[in-house]
Amino acid sequence: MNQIWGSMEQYNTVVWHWPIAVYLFLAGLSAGAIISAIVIKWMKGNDVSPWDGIIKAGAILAPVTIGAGLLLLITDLTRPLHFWKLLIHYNFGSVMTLGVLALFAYFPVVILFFMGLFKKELFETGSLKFLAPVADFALTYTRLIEGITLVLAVGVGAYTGFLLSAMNSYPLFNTPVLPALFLVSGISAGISANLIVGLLFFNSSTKDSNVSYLHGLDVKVIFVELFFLFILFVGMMYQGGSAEHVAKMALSTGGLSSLLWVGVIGLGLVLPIGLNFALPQGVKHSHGFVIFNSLIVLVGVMSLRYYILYAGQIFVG
Amino acid sequence: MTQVLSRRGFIKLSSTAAAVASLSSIPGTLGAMDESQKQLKGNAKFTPSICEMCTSSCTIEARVEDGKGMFIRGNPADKGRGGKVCARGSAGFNQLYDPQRLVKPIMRVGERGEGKWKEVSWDEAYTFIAKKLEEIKQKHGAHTVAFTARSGWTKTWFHNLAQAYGSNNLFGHEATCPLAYDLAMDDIFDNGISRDFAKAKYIINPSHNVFEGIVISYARQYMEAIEHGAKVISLDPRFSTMSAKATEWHPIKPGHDLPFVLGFMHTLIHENLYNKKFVEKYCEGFEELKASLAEYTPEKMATECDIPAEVIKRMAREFAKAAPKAIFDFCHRVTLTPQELELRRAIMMCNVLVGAVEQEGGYYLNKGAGFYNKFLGENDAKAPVLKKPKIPAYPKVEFPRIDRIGEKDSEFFLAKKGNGIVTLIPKATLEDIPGVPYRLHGWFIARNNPVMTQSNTEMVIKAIKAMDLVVVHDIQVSDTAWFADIVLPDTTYLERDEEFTASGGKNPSYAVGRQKVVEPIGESRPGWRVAKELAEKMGLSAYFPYKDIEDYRLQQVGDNIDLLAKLKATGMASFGVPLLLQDKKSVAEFVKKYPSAASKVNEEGTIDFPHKIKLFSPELEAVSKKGALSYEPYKYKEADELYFINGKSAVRTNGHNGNNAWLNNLCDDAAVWIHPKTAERLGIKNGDNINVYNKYSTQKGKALVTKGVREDTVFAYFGFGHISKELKRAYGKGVNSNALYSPLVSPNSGMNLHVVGVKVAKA
Amino acid sequence: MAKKYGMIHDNNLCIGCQACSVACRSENKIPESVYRLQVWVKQEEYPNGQLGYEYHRQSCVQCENTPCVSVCPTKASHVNEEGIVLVDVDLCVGCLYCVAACPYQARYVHPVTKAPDKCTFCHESRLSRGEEPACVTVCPTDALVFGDLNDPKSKINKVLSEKVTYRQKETLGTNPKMFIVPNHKGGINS
Repeated sequence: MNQIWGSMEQYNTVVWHWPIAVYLFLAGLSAGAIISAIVIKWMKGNDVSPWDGIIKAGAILAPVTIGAGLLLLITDLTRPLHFWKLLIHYNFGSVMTLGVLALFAYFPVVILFFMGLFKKELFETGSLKFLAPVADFALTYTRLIEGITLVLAVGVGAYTGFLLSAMNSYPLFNTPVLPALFLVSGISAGISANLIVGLLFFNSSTKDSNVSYLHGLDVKVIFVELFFLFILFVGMMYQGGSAEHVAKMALSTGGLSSLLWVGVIGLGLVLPIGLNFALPQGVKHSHGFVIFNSLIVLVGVMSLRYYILYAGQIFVG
Repeated sequence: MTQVLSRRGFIKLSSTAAAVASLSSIPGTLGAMDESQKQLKGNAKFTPSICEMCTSSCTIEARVEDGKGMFIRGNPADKGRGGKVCARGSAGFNQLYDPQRLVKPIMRVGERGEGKWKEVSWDEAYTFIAKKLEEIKQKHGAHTVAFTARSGWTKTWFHNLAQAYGSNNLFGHEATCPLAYDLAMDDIFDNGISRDFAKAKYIINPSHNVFEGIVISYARQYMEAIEHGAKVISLDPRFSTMSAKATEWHPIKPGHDLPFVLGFMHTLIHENLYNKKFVEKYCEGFEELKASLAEYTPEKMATECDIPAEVIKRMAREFAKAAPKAIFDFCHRVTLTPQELELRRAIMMCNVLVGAVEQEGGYYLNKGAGFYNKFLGENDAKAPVLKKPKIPAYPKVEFPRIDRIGEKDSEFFLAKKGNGIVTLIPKATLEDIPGVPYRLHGWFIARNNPVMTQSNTEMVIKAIKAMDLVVVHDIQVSDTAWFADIVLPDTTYLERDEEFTASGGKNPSYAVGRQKVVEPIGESRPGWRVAKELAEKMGLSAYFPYKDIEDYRLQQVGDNIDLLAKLKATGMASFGVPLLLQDKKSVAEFVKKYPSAASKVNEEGTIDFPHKIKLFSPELEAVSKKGALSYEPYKYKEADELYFINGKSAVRTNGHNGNNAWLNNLCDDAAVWIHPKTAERLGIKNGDNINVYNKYSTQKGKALVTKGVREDTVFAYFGFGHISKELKRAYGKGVNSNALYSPLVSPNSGMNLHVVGVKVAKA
Repeated sequence: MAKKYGMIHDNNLCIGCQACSVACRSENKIPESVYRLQVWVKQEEYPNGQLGYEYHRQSCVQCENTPCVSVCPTKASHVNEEGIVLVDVDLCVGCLYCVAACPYQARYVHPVTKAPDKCTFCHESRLSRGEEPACVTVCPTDALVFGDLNDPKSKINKVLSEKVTYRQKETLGTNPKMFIVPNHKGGINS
């Protein structure tokens, strides 16, 4: 029968586009950056000023990336001038409301962390002196704030996954593995971003021991990420029915599957691990290599967000 | 001046893609009008009227909402249609505001078909037309101008004008539509007949696709029959919606329905399945019929129509068993064979043979006021008859019509003068027809689109270009208007009042025609006004003795103010009780209401038919030696070609509303149906661009590979491939089926043929 | 007792003519490029080789367990007392979570308000006037039945008791109030 019912363009199952993928990447990166910064900070030897370059990197990255991400999100709304309604109307059954609330708390908290860390450089003299009391407050309650930040960061990292997994209209999203995968992937991205920024901009204050520690941690995190990715797809295949069909399609169809195998798995996961075990100590802890390694990890994480977002919306069984 | 459109030129014209660069509106269209003039002024209460989106003319109600919108629904008072409308009916509102709608008269300023226009005032338009008509009258005679109009809509006005002018070449669109079955009814029953689908238990349906070529009352009745367990047989070369709802679908060979019916009838007669009593009492010509059918055995006919003999015989037996609640549907328009008249006569005779006439679930005679009143007594109130105003006698015309109707030997003698054989007009313009000592020089076309609806588009255009005057009255620059000298803007059906109409089903009924829901937009004028004003210009106002439509309506009802009031309020009225002559219960009810009718009742408690039912036609025998039935095999195509057939889609109609915004959005391109095996053989995949071509035209389309069509057949919906560039949404999209059909005018019925041979290739 | 509106779409009576789609557009002033309602016609082949047409009404199925309402962050997407799922445009920020979350793809973004829109059983137009939805009113073959599921005497409950019906994607637990009378030939695609 001819298509006599009109255009079917509005039924495109892809509702959320690349800005959302970038936002998920930025949110995960922000959470991971602040988590790894705090983990380093809590280690003996790093816990007093002057702060290690990596910690400073994290303190800058976390609010900047989350701010950029939220800006992207707001401009992606179809009714952006009404975005403030998200802040005063809540539906506690919606992951988005919970995310809004978490971010509502997370954003100020990471700014506080930043202010406390950079009190000497930015808030003791100069035009921003009026904010000194806030920075002092941050320094006074530093352990508490860091603790709260850690919890919120885990929430933010995981919520990006829950956002998608709450929809049973997309079989590839609708799995409990997704929040775990996104959190772990976000941590990996945060570590890599901290390393890049720390080595490039705070080279002098970055301790080599912290660099190699974080790099090593990253490798472990990547193993976990690979594992979650594996059980995501294998789990779907064993579920049978439409889940199995979707998984098979997602793994083998078109440019997206190439992105998965080459970008996400190849470049972002297997290569870092491989290089870690293949290269001698001297090379793999050299600044040049660490930056290179972090870059490919970041590419892999961004590719993961892009792939999951699009593949999930395209392959619906 | 007259340019013969070369085949290449035509291909270029018809296959140009829909990339109509110009977004600007031509003069005279609504798009060229001032914004402020576009507000709707109309009735906020539901006004009963009649739809005009297709010929089904279903009853509707419409109201204006907030001065900008409109909601159209069916008229709930109409039980037969249940207060429903179809997609086209609901979309009618779009006609009002369409920027491509014509609201001022326009005159061409270039060659015919060049598409250059200038606005003129109505006065200028009338002056031009009157002058031209006078010229033709002096030079060639008024009879050389043909007038085409539509039944119930514009014939009253324009046929009146035509005859006052001195032309006898009056036409409706019937020869492209239901003429064949109209002629068959008149020949067999001396009366129109209808079908009581709802109560039937067995219906044979040859391509009568009421679910896509939607006639709402038929669609509802068929559904009711199916829901109550009726068996429906769909004989159709393609799998239509009717085929899907039917009990059985048999893909009959295109153009070969007549052999099926003859084999079917052969079985009815030779297996003694027919109703002997009924045939003896009420019919004449049975022996001639039986003799003429002798050679058309099911076995012989099976190879012709590609339906096995056993199946033909089985259906005949089932049909006879279900009688009198059995209907062999004589369809509507799809013209299937050059022997259209034989086909419809044969189908109707099947119902007659089993006595399924004038009983529930079969055929019944249409009982208008004239018929009905014959059964009433002197003192009974009679069914009102609508009157016509008194006018002077028409000037006598010395020449025969182009179809020679009215002459003793005319093969088309069965057709009424108001219908005529419109399909002959192109031939009568370009060639000499035997017995017609003139050629046509003018064509006045009201609400008709022959370039789109008559077979062999190239020939129609050629004829139009050869004429001295072509006038079109339409709401848009249709494909025919595109080639006209002057186009007059018609009101849409929502903007005009029309005359009252009278008809009858099981009893006489009356309808309001159309009623104005909004005031006319721009300078559009309805048919009654255009005819009257043009007549005034031509000095013929004596033939239009009414001030306006209200005045005319008053004259129609005479002093029957009740009828007038009822029609205006609810849109319809009926008289008396339903009557089925052969149904004892119905007759008893009838006699109860009209006791004087008791004298007409026979010993069985039924009423006899007023005329004998003719199973053999002496008149057809005298004129064409076709009094009995016969089958003349016809070569539709070459051996290496495919059959090309068309049909109706539920969301577009004919050539009229392809440009309607909403309907065009629903479907703007009709892909061509091809069987998977044929597609494979031709290397065509679903969605491929293809060329469908024969010696008449090459049409570009898309392929739809489906098992729902015969291997030797391709199918496309009708009403696509528009040629007028002013139909901007519809222009050039889809296959124009009539461009591919031959210009054949069938003997005795004048119908065009909608089966032709084509080749299909990947583009 | 509060009303609970539901609808039945009968595949046997539906002929895919799109009268419902056009009436809906006319009554609810739907912009030209989008649709609240379409009827998709699909050719099927049955196991014995026979052909058929299946008619799928594509529109909001008015779930009772609504995925779209649960994900809406501002409660712009909500269910009214009569069981109809509605969008309060004032509260909507256009995040399109509901559009993504709907398993039936019933929602589209309205080109003018930029908020998601969908079939509302003509709540704002005809229901408020005591009339049935536009689609039900015009359907030429009476393939649509509308009514109050909480009223035992309603027409919809009568038909639900007499004909076999199913609902789409029932396994998702959405509990839709759009019922389908399956074609009397062939299988059921739930």
